[in-house]
Amino acid sequence: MSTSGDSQPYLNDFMMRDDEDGVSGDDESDNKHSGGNYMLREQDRFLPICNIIKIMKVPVPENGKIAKDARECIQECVSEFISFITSEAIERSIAENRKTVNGDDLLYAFANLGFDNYVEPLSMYLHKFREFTV
Amino acid sequence: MDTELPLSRIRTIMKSSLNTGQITNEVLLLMTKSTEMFIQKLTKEAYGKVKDDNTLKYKHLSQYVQKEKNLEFLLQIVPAKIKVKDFKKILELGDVNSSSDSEDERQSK
Repeated sequence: MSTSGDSQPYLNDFMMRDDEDGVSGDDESDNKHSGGNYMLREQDRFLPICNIIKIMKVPVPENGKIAKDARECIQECVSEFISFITSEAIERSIAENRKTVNGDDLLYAFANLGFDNYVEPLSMYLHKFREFTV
Repeated sequence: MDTELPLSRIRTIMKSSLNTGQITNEVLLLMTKSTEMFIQKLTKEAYGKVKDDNTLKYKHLSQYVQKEKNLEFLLQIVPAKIKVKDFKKILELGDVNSSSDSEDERQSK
């Protein structure tokens, strides 16, 4: 697997989006078929299976295997998870009259939806990120 | 701060869930990190249910999802496997109670 090659594009993506807080420049470009309904292509609904498998292999012991049905199931679950948390975070930002979702909304969503054990590691991560970008 | 998952795809999935305006880097990275944690946690716990052949299968995931309260949102995606025999029983019961709505849903799975 091309681990080192893979991480490069993400890094670029991350760098490119760095100025995002202020401007709404190219961000809207991936919304080209807007007009209200933003259609999602089938292949965009899920994260790439190879990335998911790589992460799944971490907690599984070396002699362990992962069946195809389990991989595909997790792939679906992950997209559902993202939408689930995002909706909750958006609701909270709307309730507070903000247009943009922030990290604290996300943390709130995790706590509110029963993922309390995510809050601590994620707030540490958030803290690190904020330090890093200031 | 590197991640194993493509940020752009996560952004797309987040945008699809509601008409969100902007998704900041902070939120995107946090979501990506938590998604990674979620995959690991789900896999780890479900693998705990593997018994003999060291292979994680759908049924282990569904067993785990059924019993976790905070994973209720996955129940429709990961329904428990049931035997045809049992399913027929449910259908019959449904007919009697004429409340076959939820059963119909399961049938289409």
